[in-house]
Amino acid sequence: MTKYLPLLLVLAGPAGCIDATHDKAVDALGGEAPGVRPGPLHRPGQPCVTCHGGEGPGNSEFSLAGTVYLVSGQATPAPNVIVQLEDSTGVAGTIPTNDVGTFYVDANVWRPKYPVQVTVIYGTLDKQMQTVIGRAGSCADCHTDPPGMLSPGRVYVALSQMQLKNAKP
Amino acid sequence: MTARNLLSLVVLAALSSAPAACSTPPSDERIGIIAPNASEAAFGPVADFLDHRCGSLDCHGQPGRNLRIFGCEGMRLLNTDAPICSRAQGGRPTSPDEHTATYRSLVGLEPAVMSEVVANHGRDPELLTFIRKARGTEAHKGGALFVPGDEQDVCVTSWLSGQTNLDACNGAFSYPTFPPLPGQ
Repeated sequence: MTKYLPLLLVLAGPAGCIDATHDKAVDALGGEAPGVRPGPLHRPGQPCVTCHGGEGPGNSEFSLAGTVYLVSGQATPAPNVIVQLEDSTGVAGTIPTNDVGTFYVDANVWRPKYPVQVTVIYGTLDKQMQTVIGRAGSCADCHTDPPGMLSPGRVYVALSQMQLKNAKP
Repeated sequence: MTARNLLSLVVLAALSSAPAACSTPPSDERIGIIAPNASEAAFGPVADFLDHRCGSLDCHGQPGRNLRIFGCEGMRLLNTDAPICSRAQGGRPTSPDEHTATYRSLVGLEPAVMSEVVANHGRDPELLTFIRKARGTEAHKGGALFVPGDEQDVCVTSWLSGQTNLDACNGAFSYPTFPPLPGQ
C-alpha cells in the first residue's frame, strides 16, 4: 500500500487547491430564490461570473454577463433589450436580454480582449456606458444597488418613465 | 600596548557606541521629497485623464489598490457622490479634493524615486513603476496602455518634467480607441 502513497498524494493534489476568496464570494451570494430553479432566469442582478467564471460552482462559463433594468433607481428588469459589446480589437456583437433582464456571453464563443465598451439599446433609445469595462466580467461587480461612492447603481436603459415611454419600440 | 589590551579597548569602544547606533530617530523628524507640481492647473488635467483611463471601478478605482485613483469615472472620495459625471444623470464632476487624493496616492507609491525623477526634470520616467506598468514594460493586469510619445504618455511625463502638456492631456481622453463598427 505504501508504495502507492506518492501516487495518491499526486492525485489528491488538485483537490487541495482551494480558493478561499472565491468560496467566500460564492457564499456571499446566498441560496436560490424560492421557486426559481438554477438556469438562465435565476439570480438576476447578481455577479454572474462569480459562479460562472470557470471556477464553479456554475457549470457553464460566461465571459460577460449581467442584468439590465428599465428605469434608473427602479428594480423592474428590462427584457428584450439589446446589449451591444465591442472589444479593443473591434470584435463586436449584440445579445438580447431574457425575461428577467439578464444576458450572458458563453466564454467558449467569445473571450473579449479588454477593454470592452457597452451600449444598451431599447427601441429608439441607446445608452453607452460612461466608462469602458477594464476587466470585470459581471456587470454587478460594479453596478450594485444602491448607488454609492463605489457604484453607479444598476444598469438601466432610461432615466425616467417618460424617457422609457418615448422610446418604446 | 599588548594585544590583549588592544582587544579590550576595541570591545569597550564597540559596546559604548552600540546605544547610539540603535537609537531611533525623533518621531517628529520628516524627510522631504522633491514633489511634482500638485496645483490644479498642473495636475488637474493629468488626474482627470488618469481617472478616465485607469480609474474605472474594476481597475484602479478601488480602495484595495496600491495606486488609488479618485474621480467621477470611478471611485469617489465622498460617500455622498456616485461614479457618475453628468449632473443631468444625478452625478457630479471630479472635485479638486479628488485630484489631491489621486496625487497623494500616486506620489506616495515611490516617493524617493519620484523625487529623483522630478529632480531630473522628468528624465527617465521609467524609473517609476507606474510608468513602466502603463507602458507595459513591467507586468500589468491592464496591459500596455501607453506608447512612449503618444498623447497619454506625454500628458503624464510632461507633468513629471514640470511642464504639463495640456493639449496632450486633452487628446489623451480619446483613448482607449475602438475600431468603428459597421455602419458607424
